[in-house]
Amino acid sequence: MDASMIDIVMPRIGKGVESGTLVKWLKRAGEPVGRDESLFEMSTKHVDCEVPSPVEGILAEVLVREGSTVDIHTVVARLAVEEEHLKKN
Amino acid sequence: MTVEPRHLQVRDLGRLGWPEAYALQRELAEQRKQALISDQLLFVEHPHTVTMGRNGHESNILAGPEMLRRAGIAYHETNRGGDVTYHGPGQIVGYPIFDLREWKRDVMAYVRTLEQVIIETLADFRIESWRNPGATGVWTAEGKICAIGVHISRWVTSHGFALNHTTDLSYFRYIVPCGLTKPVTSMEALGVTVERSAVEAAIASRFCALFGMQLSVPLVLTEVAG
Repeated sequence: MDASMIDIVMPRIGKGVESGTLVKWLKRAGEPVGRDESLFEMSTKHVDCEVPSPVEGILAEVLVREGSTVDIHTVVARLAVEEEHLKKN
Repeated sequence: MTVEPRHLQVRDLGRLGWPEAYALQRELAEQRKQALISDQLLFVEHPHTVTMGRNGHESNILAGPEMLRRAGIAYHETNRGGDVTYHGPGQIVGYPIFDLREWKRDVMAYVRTLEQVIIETLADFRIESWRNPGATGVWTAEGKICAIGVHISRWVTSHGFALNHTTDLSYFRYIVPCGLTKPVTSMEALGVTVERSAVEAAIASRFCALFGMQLSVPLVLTEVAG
Protein backbone atom coordinates (compact mmCIF):
# COMPACT_ATOMS: atom_id res chain seq x y z
CA MET A 1 0.00 0.00 0.00
CA ASP A 2 1.18 3.51 -0.80
CA ALA A 3 0.82 5.54 2.36
CA SER A 4 1.92 9.05 3.25
CA MET A 5 2.34 10.60 6.65
CA ILE A 6 0.43 13.78 7.31
CA ASP A 7 0.80 16.09 10.30
CA ILE A 8 -2.09 16.84 12.65
CA VAL A 9 -1.69 20.19 14.41
CA MET A 10 -3.25 21.97 17.35
CA PRO A 11 -5.85 24.01 15.45
CA ARG A 12 -6.47 27.72 15.65
CA ILE A 13 -10.00 27.97 17.04
CA GLY A 14 -10.32 31.73 16.82
CA LYS A 15 -8.58 35.07 17.02
CA GLY A 16 -6.56 35.68 20.15
CA VAL A 17 -6.19 32.02 21.14
CA GLU A 18 -2.54 31.10 20.76
CA SER A 19 -2.41 27.80 22.63
CA GLY A 20 -4.58 24.85 23.59
CA THR A 21 -4.48 22.00 26.09
CA LEU A 22 -4.68 18.48 24.71
CA VAL A 23 -7.25 17.10 27.13
CA LYS A 24 -7.81 13.62 25.80
CA TRP A 25 -6.92 11.39 22.89
CA LEU A 26 -10.08 9.85 21.47
CA LYS A 27 -8.05 7.40 19.34
CA ARG A 28 -4.98 5.38 20.25
CA ALA A 29 -1.81 5.00 18.19
CA GLY A 30 -2.40 2.27 15.61
CA GLU A 31 -6.16 2.79 15.48
CA PRO A 32 -7.94 3.66 12.25
CA VAL A 33 -9.79 6.96 12.08
CA GLY A 34 -12.40 8.10 9.58
CA ARG A 35 -12.60 11.47 7.89
CA ASP A 36 -14.36 13.97 10.24
CA GLU A 37 -14.18 11.49 13.09
CA SER A 38 -13.00 13.10 16.34
CA LEU A 39 -9.28 12.52 17.01
CA PHE A 40 -8.72 14.40 20.23
CA GLU A 41 -10.29 16.85 22.59
CA MET A 42 -8.65 20.22 23.17
CA SER A 43 -9.54 22.85 25.72
CA THR A 44 -8.95 26.52 26.39
CA LYS A 45 -10.25 28.76 29.16
CA HIS A 46 -13.40 29.32 27.16
CA VAL A 47 -14.22 26.25 25.15
CA ASP A 48 -13.75 22.55 24.90
CA CYS A 49 -13.50 21.24 21.38
CA GLU A 50 -13.37 17.85 19.70
CA VAL A 51 -10.93 18.03 16.82
CA PRO A 52 -11.85 15.92 13.80
CA SER A 53 -9.48 14.14 11.46
CA PRO A 54 -9.23 15.88 8.07
CA VAL A 55 -8.81 12.57 6.29
CA GLU A 56 -9.28 8.80 6.70
CA GLY A 57 -6.15 7.04 7.93
CA ILE A 58 -4.37 5.35 10.80
CA LEU A 59 -3.17 7.25 13.85
CA ALA A 60 0.51 6.41 13.43
CA GLU A 61 2.22 8.58 16.03
CA VAL A 62 1.00 10.49 19.07
CA LEU A 63 3.44 13.34 19.80
CA VAL A 64 1.73 15.29 22.58
CA ARG A 65 0.63 13.78 25.88
CA GLU A 66 -2.76 14.33 27.48
CA GLY A 67 -2.70 17.35 29.75
CA SER A 68 0.00 19.20 27.76
CA THR A 69 -0.58 22.77 26.65
CA VAL A 70 1.01 23.61 23.30
CA ASP A 71 1.02 26.54 20.89
CA ILE A 72 -1.39 26.43 17.98
CA HIS A 73 0.03 24.79 14.85
CA THR A 74 2.21 22.49 16.98
CA VAL A 75 2.24 19.00 15.42
CA VAL A 76 0.42 16.75 17.88
CA ALA A 77 0.20 13.55 15.83
CA ARG A 78 0.94 11.92 12.50
CA LEU A 79 -1.56 10.02 10.42
CA ALA A 80 -0.68 7.33 7.90
CA VAL A 81 -2.93 7.96 4.94
CA GLU A 82 -3.31 5.89 1.78
CA GLU A 83 -2.72 7.82 -1.42
CA GLU A 84 -6.26 7.20 -2.63
CA HIS A 85 -7.71 8.95 0.45
CA LEU A 86 -5.40 11.93 0.01
CA LYS A 87 -6.61 12.41 -3.55
CA LYS A 88 -10.22 12.63 -2.36
CA ASN A 89 -9.40 15.83 -0.48
CA MET B 1 -32.52 34.46 -5.25
CA THR B 2 -32.96 35.42 -1.63
CA VAL B 3 -31.21 33.70 1.22
CA GLU B 4 -33.60 32.37 3.84
CA PRO B 5 -32.67 33.47 7.35
CA ARG B 6 -31.66 30.63 9.64
CA HIS B 7 -34.32 29.46 12.00
CA LEU B 8 -33.84 29.15 15.74
CA GLN B 9 -36.11 26.90 17.73
CA VAL B 10 -36.34 28.06 21.33
CA ARG B 11 -37.52 25.65 24.01
CA ASP B 12 -38.04 26.22 27.69
CA LEU B 13 -37.49 22.89 29.45
CA GLY B 14 -38.51 24.26 32.84
CA ARG B 15 -36.94 22.66 35.92
CA LEU B 16 -34.73 19.76 34.83
CA GLY B 17 -31.79 17.86 36.34
CA TRP B 18 -28.35 18.47 34.89
CA PRO B 19 -27.81 14.86 33.64
CA GLU B 20 -31.21 14.81 31.89
CA ALA B 21 -30.50 18.17 30.23
CA TYR B 22 -27.04 16.97 29.20
CA ALA B 23 -28.47 13.79 27.64
CA LEU B 24 -30.98 15.90 25.70
CA GLN B 25 -28.22 18.24 24.50
CA ARG B 26 -26.16 15.30 23.20
CA GLU B 27 -29.15 13.88 21.39
CA LEU B 28 -30.06 17.22 19.80
CA ALA B 29 -26.41 17.96 18.87
CA GLU B 30 -26.28 14.62 17.06
CA GLN B 31 -29.52 15.45 15.22
CA ARG B 32 -28.17 18.90 14.38
CA LYS B 33 -24.95 17.38 12.91
CA GLN B 34 -27.13 15.30 10.63
CA ALA B 35 -29.17 18.40 9.69
CA LEU B 36 -32.37 16.72 10.98
CA ILE B 37 -33.29 19.77 13.08
CA SER B 38 -32.67 23.52 12.99
CA ASP B 39 -30.48 25.39 15.47
CA GLN B 40 -31.85 25.19 19.00
CA LEU B 41 -31.75 27.34 22.10
CA LEU B 42 -32.74 25.41 25.23
CA PHE B 43 -33.63 27.22 28.43
CA VAL B 44 -33.53 25.26 31.66
CA GLU B 45 -33.47 25.77 35.41
CA HIS B 46 -31.34 23.21 37.25
CA PRO B 47 -31.69 22.09 40.85
CA HIS B 48 -28.61 22.76 43.03
CA THR B 49 -25.66 21.41 41.00
CA VAL B 50 -21.92 22.00 40.89
CA THR B 51 -20.20 21.16 37.60
CA MET B 52 -16.53 21.00 36.76
CA GLY B 53 -15.21 22.02 33.33
CA ARG B 54 -12.25 20.60 31.45
CA ASN B 55 -9.92 23.32 32.66
CA GLY B 56 -11.09 22.95 36.22
CA HIS B 57 -9.20 22.38 39.43
CA GLU B 58 -10.73 20.44 42.29
CA SER B 59 -9.14 22.93 44.67
CA ASN B 60 -11.76 25.40 43.42
CA ILE B 61 -14.46 23.32 45.10
CA LEU B 62 -14.35 24.45 48.69
CA ALA B 63 -16.48 21.52 49.85
CA GLY B 64 -15.69 17.88 49.06
CA PRO B 65 -18.17 15.81 47.01
CA GLU B 66 -19.47 14.28 50.24
CA MET B 67 -20.15 17.68 51.79
CA LEU B 68 -21.85 18.83 48.58
CA ARG B 69 -24.03 15.74 48.66
CA ARG B 70 -25.02 16.40 52.26
CA ALA B 71 -25.88 19.99 51.36
CA GLY B 72 -28.22 18.59 48.67
CA ILE B 73 -25.98 19.67 45.78
CA ALA B 74 -25.35 17.31 42.86
CA TYR B 75 -21.84 17.17 41.40
CA HIS B 76 -20.92 16.41 37.77
CA GLU B 77 -17.76 16.57 35.69
CA THR B 78 -18.46 17.92 32.21
CA ASN B 79 -16.82 18.32 28.82
CA ARG B 80 -17.26 22.07 28.60
CA GLY B 81 -14.49 24.65 28.70
CA GLY B 82 -13.86 26.57 31.88
CA ASP B 83 -13.56 25.80 35.56
CA VAL B 84 -16.05 24.90 38.28
CA THR B 85 -19.48 26.53 38.37
CA TYR B 86 -22.73 26.41 40.32
CA HIS B 87 -26.25 25.98 38.90
CA GLY B 88 -29.46 26.30 40.86
CA PRO B 89 -32.99 27.63 41.12
CA GLY B 90 -33.40 31.20 39.94
CA GLN B 91 -30.64 30.88 37.38
CA ILE B 92 -31.40 31.06 33.65
CA VAL B 93 -29.32 28.41 31.93
CA GLY B 94 -29.15 28.54 28.14
CA TYR B 95 -27.84 25.75 25.91
CA PRO B 96 -27.50 26.73 22.23
CA ILE B 97 -27.21 23.75 19.88
CA PHE B 98 -25.80 25.70 17.00
CA ASP B 99 -24.00 24.64 13.81
CA LEU B 100 -21.00 26.95 13.40
CA ARG B 101 -20.37 25.67 9.87
CA GLU B 102 -23.31 27.78 8.75
CA TRP B 103 -22.01 30.79 10.65
CA LYS B 104 -18.37 31.94 10.92
CA ARG B 105 -16.54 28.71 11.72
CA ASP B 106 -14.82 30.66 14.48
CA VAL B 107 -15.13 29.24 17.97
CA MET B 108 -13.89 32.35 19.77
CA ALA B 109 -16.18 34.61 17.75
CA TYR B 110 -19.03 32.36 18.89
CA VAL B 111 -18.06 32.75 22.58
CA ARG B 112 -17.67 36.53 22.19
CA THR B 113 -21.06 36.82 20.49
CA LEU B 114 -22.67 34.73 23.22
CA GLU B 115 -21.22 37.15 25.79
CA GLN B 116 -22.59 40.03 23.70
CA VAL B 117 -26.07 38.46 23.75
CA ILE B 118 -26.00 38.57 27.57
CA ILE B 119 -24.50 42.09 27.73
CA GLU B 120 -27.23 43.47 25.42
CA THR B 121 -29.97 41.54 27.24
CA LEU B 122 -28.83 43.00 30.57
CA ALA B 123 -28.75 46.47 28.99
CA ASP B 124 -32.44 45.92 28.07
CA PHE B 125 -33.06 45.77 31.83
CA ARG B 126 -30.76 48.73 32.52
CA ILE B 127 -27.88 46.67 33.90
CA GLU B 128 -24.44 47.69 32.69
CA SER B 129 -22.10 44.74 32.11
CA TRP B 130 -18.91 43.86 30.28
CA ARG B 131 -16.32 41.20 29.46
CA ASN B 132 -13.36 40.66 31.74
CA PRO B 133 -10.11 40.22 29.79
CA GLY B 134 -8.61 36.86 30.64
CA ALA B 135 -11.84 35.43 32.11
CA THR B 136 -14.98 34.10 30.49
CA GLY B 137 -18.45 35.26 31.32
CA VAL B 138 -20.14 38.59 31.87
CA TRP B 139 -19.35 40.96 34.73
CA THR B 140 -20.93 43.92 36.47
CA ALA B 141 -19.70 46.43 39.04
CA GLU B 142 -20.95 44.04 41.74
CA GLY B 143 -19.29 40.92 40.33
CA LYS B 144 -19.80 38.12 37.86
CA ILE B 145 -23.41 37.72 36.73
CA CYS B 146 -23.14 35.12 33.97
CA ALA B 147 -20.86 32.11 33.47
CA ILE B 148 -20.03 30.78 30.01
CA GLY B 149 -18.60 27.37 29.12
CA VAL B 150 -18.88 25.81 25.70
CA HIS B 151 -18.22 22.49 24.00
CA ILE B 152 -17.82 22.07 20.23
CA SER B 153 -18.05 18.77 18.42
CA ARG B 154 -17.74 18.81 14.64
CA TRP B 155 -18.70 22.52 14.66
CA VAL B 156 -21.90 21.94 16.66
CA THR B 157 -22.06 23.73 20.01
CA SER B 158 -23.38 22.50 23.34
CA HIS B 159 -23.34 23.76 26.92
CA GLY B 160 -23.59 27.55 27.04
CA PHE B 161 -24.36 30.19 29.63
CA ALA B 162 -25.75 30.48 33.17
CA LEU B 163 -27.22 33.88 34.01
CA ASN B 164 -28.03 34.67 37.64
CA HIS B 165 -31.58 35.99 37.64
CA THR B 166 -32.84 35.43 41.21
CA THR B 167 -30.17 32.86 42.18
CA ASP B 168 -29.53 32.34 45.92
CA LEU B 169 -25.94 33.59 45.81
CA SER B 170 -25.04 31.98 49.14
CA TYR B 171 -24.64 28.66 47.28
CA PHE B 172 -21.56 30.04 45.52
CA ARG B 173 -19.74 29.75 48.86
CA TYR B 174 -19.14 26.08 48.05
CA ILE B 175 -16.95 26.95 45.07
CA VAL B 176 -14.53 29.53 43.74
CA PRO B 177 -16.53 30.44 40.62
CA CYS B 178 -14.41 29.68 37.58
CA GLY B 179 -11.31 29.86 39.73
CA LEU B 180 -11.74 33.52 40.54
CA THR B 181 -12.13 34.80 44.05
CA LYS B 182 -14.23 37.75 42.90
CA PRO B 183 -17.86 38.07 44.01
CA VAL B 184 -20.90 36.90 42.07
CA THR B 185 -24.13 38.77 41.65
CA SER B 186 -27.60 38.42 40.14
CA MET B 187 -30.17 40.61 38.39
CA GLU B 188 -32.22 40.59 41.59
CA ALA B 189 -29.20 41.54 43.74
CA LEU B 190 -28.67 44.50 41.39
CA GLY B 191 -32.20 45.68 42.19
CA VAL B 192 -33.87 44.54 38.95
CA THR B 193 -37.19 42.74 39.45
CA VAL B 194 -38.37 41.14 36.24
CA GLU B 195 -40.12 37.91 35.27
CA ARG B 196 -37.92 35.02 34.18
CA SER B 197 -39.96 34.66 30.96
CA ALA B 198 -39.25 38.28 30.05
CA VAL B 199 -35.51 37.73 30.43
CA GLU B 200 -35.66 34.54 28.33
CA ALA B 201 -37.62 36.34 25.62
CA ALA B 202 -35.04 39.15 25.60
CA ILE B 203 -32.16 36.63 25.34
CA ALA B 204 -33.87 34.80 22.45
CA SER B 205 -34.46 38.09 20.65
CA ARG B 206 -30.86 39.29 21.13
CA PHE B 207 -29.55 35.86 20.14
CA CYS B 208 -31.47 35.99 16.85
CA ALA B 209 -30.37 39.57 16.13
CA LEU B 210 -26.67 38.96 16.82
CA PHE B 211 -26.44 35.59 15.07
CA GLY B 212 -28.64 36.65 12.13
CA MET B 213 -31.53 34.26 12.78
CA GLN B 214 -35.26 34.34 13.14
CA LEU B 215 -37.41 32.54 15.66
CA SER B 216 -39.14 29.58 14.05
CA VAL B 217 -41.93 29.44 16.63
CA PRO B 218 -43.03 31.63 19.51
CA LEU B 219 -41.39 30.86 22.82
CA VAL B 220 -43.31 27.98 24.37
CA LEU B 221 -42.97 25.98 27.52
CA THR B 222 -42.15 22.35 26.80
CA GLU B 223 -42.79 19.77 29.46
CA VAL B 224 -40.13 17.11 29.61
CA ALA B 225 -41.01 13.83 31.26
CA GLY B 226 -38.75 12.55 34.03
